[in-house]
Amino acid sequence: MTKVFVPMDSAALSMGANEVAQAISDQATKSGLDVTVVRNGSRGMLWLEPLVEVETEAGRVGYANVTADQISDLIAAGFLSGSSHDSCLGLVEELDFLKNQTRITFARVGVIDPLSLADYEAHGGLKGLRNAISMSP
Amino acid sequence: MSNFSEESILNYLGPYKGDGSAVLRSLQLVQELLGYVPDSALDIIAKNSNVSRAEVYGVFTFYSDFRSTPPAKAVVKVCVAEACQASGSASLISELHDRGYDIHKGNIKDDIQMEQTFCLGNCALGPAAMVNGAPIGRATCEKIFVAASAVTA
Repeated sequence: MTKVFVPMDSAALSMGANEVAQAISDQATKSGLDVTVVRNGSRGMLWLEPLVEVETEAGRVGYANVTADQISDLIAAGFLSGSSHDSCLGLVEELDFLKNQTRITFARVGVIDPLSLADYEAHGGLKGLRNAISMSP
Repeated sequence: MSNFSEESILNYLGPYKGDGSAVLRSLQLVQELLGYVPDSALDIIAKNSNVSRAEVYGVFTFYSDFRSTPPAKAVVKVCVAEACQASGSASLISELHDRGYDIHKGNIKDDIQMEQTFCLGNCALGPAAMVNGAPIGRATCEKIFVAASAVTA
């Protein structure tokens, strides 16, 4: 299963992120590809929106300013395995904008689906609560 | 949209009966329900919230987002604030003007109304616009009309 991230914050929506997410699901169904589209938040690099990310073994590979009508080309070019393309940025975490930041309260912004408790937990969420529950009064 | 009764509005405002602090929320609810706030709704809200009509009128006229007449099928808001001016909203606005829309006057043409607004918060992707609540980044005349005709069709 391939995980594809398409942001759903207002900035991304204003650049057609919903249409992009729909196009990815449609194309995947049509071609019988096992793809899960996750609607994350924006990483904050609004000028790259919609910034579509594909989960690969090496990390999340980003594609900038993706439009819905590019999706079939991107799939043909193998973007679901993170292959290169004109719009490919490489590993998103390695971009200067993110590499030079230390995010604390914003650590999970743009990384997960903000409404997924499982994603939250997988990224260290609920640790404090669990610890508190295990303590004696 | 223009079909409403005092009863239907009162039903809608039920949770806020007697709550004088809920005038703003009540106005929002009426606009959500009818698309605008008719003059008679001001009396209904005043009665329901147990405040004077003058107080409701004051809140109603303070926020330019509230309208007293029914909206066009497509309501386009175009940002005229500084960040969007810096990213070229002036030429967009004059293009819209050439197509028969004066966003400063907010005239309606072909079921489309274009209005000015001050900052939609999408400054990084200016010029910013909004069509019936859906945001449009790096707005162009073309993008705006495509989105507007999709809702008027």
